[in-house]
Amino acid sequence: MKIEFYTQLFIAVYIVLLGLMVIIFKKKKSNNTVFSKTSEFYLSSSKPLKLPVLILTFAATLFSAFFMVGVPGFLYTHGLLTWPFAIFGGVFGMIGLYHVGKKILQVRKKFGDHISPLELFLKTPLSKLIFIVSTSIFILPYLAIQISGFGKLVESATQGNIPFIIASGSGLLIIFIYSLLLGIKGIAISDFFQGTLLLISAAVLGYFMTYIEFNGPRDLIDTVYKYNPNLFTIKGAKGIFTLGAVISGGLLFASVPVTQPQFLTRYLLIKDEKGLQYLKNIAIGMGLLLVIGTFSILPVGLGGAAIFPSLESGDLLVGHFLNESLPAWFGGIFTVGVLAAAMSTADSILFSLGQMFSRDIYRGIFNKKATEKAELLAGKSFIFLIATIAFLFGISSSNLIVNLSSLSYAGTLQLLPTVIAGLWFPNSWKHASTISILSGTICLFVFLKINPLNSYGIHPGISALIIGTLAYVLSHFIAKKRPIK
Amino acid sequence: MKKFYTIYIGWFFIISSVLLTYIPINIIVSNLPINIFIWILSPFTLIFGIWLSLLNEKTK
Repeated sequence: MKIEFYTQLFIAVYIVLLGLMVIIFKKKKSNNTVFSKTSEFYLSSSKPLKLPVLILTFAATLFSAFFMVGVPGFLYTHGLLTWPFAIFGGVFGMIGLYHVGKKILQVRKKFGDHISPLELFLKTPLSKLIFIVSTSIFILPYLAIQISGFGKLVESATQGNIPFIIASGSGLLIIFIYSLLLGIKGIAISDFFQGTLLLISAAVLGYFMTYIEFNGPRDLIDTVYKYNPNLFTIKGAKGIFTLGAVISGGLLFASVPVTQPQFLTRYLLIKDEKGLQYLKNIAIGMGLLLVIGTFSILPVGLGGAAIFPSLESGDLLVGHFLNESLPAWFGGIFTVGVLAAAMSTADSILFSLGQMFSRDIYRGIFNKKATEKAELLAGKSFIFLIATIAFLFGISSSNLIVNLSSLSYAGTLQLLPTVIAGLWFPNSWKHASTISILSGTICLFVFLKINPLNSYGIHPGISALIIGTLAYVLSHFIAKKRPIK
Repeated sequence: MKKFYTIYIGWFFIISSVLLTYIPINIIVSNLPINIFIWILSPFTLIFGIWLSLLNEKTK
């Protein structure tokens, strides 16, 4: 049997299981799980989720197709140092997650459950509009790579028998329908299963590389070291790991749980009385899963450098490995694992954007008397719009997965001063966030062309963040000195 | 007292994991530079440090 047969078979099984889950979930809690019902929106009436589900939903949202396909590709191209550097960024992100989450829970307790996540740190309708527009624009490349990452993997694993466009289109369709059918709680529970599936399939892939292709970890490292010692240098095989680049990359990755919408809305899932205790365990548990998950996929990237030395791009590595070295049935299972990874990230992004748009923009600005039904329709239409644009972006862009991710992280990084200052300094000037986001974003586009800190290896996103932060602080102090009537 | 220790020991682990990654040590251990082993292990010591540093964090 060929790999395309198993891919189609397991994806069909996966869809049936998802369908069953939707049916069970809707039957059981039919009153408060439909998208955007007020009760579901704020989760005020729903039962709190258990800690393991919370940890896995946060982790699965972070682990994306980027983790399954992009990280081995990056290891393949740049070497071992990818591993500690990616973990440093990710794990420092967990510290950020804990402290920002703690503040969000505290502020929310003060204002009550009716408040939307954006209202915790934004004060004017204009700032909400700019925040959502900016988030939507910059999350697009990230959403697109979930779809294109899955498509590329299926295409290379089946040697083009399932074309890229068919694979990515059907992947997106599954994600789109699913995010419309389930509410945030349903997504969180399915994340639990998807997270488990993706971690197990990553570990099995790592096992195959270490023990089938090589005779254990020691043999793998010895062989790859003899083959290409440059993969074990502090600067990386292509010299990209300069100090500035490492700090920038770490900051970009660390900012994800603090600035991206799928996390900002996820904090609201923590409803238990032991919220802070849970949050601490989520941060540590998620960090641990990040370390274990990345460690298990580490041999794939490194070993691949010795087995398939002349691939056109690192992103093709996993597909080649599945096709040429592994049993076809495992190829099918792993493909479902990547779909689960893409899905657990993409459905959360789509859902949170739909939520923010319908509540804060549609009902908050354009139609204040909107019925729940109209709000629901607005959210769904917005999800459809974003999913369509992401699909077009994904199929037309040929950039390496990692490059697209860093563009997305750099864009949402510009929201950092707004989130931090809005939470910790609630008395700051109400328009400072608008000015900060706009100046950070404009500077990012300029710096992508001419970066003033390029010679230090600093990412344009960090240079723009400095400007955005200064803009926030300066506009606040100027406005406080000359109060506007 | 207990809290003081866990936070500082935690941060000691965090900082030393990051610093050790950057310091080249010219020692060969069983035919490989020792840095390779440090790089493989440092993420584990980092997460251990973070666990320690948050261990006695007030959560009430």
